Amino acid sequence: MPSNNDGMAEHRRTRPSVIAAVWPSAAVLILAGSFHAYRGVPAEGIVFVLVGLAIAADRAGWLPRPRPHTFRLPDPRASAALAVLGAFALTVLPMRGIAEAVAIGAVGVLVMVVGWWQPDRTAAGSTERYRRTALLWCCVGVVVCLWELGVFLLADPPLHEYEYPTLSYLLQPIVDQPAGRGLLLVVWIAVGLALLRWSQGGITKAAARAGPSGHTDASGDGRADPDIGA
Amino acid sequence: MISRLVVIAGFLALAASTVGIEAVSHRAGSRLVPLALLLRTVLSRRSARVAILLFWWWVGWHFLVEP
Repeated sequence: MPSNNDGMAEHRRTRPSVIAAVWPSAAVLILAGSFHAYRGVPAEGIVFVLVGLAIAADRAGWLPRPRPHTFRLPDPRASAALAVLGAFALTVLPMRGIAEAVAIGAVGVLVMVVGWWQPDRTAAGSTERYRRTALLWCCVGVVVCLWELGVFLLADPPLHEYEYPTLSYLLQPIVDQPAGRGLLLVVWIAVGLALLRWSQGGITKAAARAGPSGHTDASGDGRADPDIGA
Repeated sequence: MISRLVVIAGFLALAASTVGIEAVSHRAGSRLVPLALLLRTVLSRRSARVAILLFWWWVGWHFLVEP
């Protein structure tokens, strides 16, 4: 029978784990997964919930620490070329065919592996300016999600989709055209590669020209903050 | 018809606000940091990195593969 002190110690040990398990990223993914299930795509819902649970388990320390591995990624110029080539390769595949599903599914698995095994970095992003910007983008993201959700519920797809068009309903006709599809693919691949590069600390030229706290540096030495290039 | 216009106007306003925020962040003396710098910080942590990469992947899947 544990003493009161043991119980208190156990409480102190487990509480941070539980708090970590409801980490915002995990909560957002589980919420998004539930919505995917509600809108009739349970497979996507399962993927989101599983990744959310994996993040929660990782934050709680219930998963073995992956051995950090820094993957070699293409620089911005090579990324642009890769995006165009990749988009061309995917555009020649039949739309919504098995081959395209396998290719995009494989890209997802590859990116998740790279993202998971990439080592965490200590980033210099704790200034008031960063916090303010993060809060602002979070507010915009929440408003976008609520607007899309409200429109989706009013549309009751497919009954009133014309009167209440969701973002997907508005963009899908463009994406269904070869040119629109190619453009989406180029942007999609380029953004994905940029996200991976930024997760390693790489930045764009525009951001590199920014000053010590994120705006233009008159010296032009291309350093945005002290740890760029670290 | 009015409802459709209101919905589209809402999406356009949100798109304009994102462009506006990013434009303001690039001005000298801005109280905001550019999105690329913010993401560079956010993506340094595995939890946020994996979540953002999953949302990115889903956009491609949703528009290109999902029936």
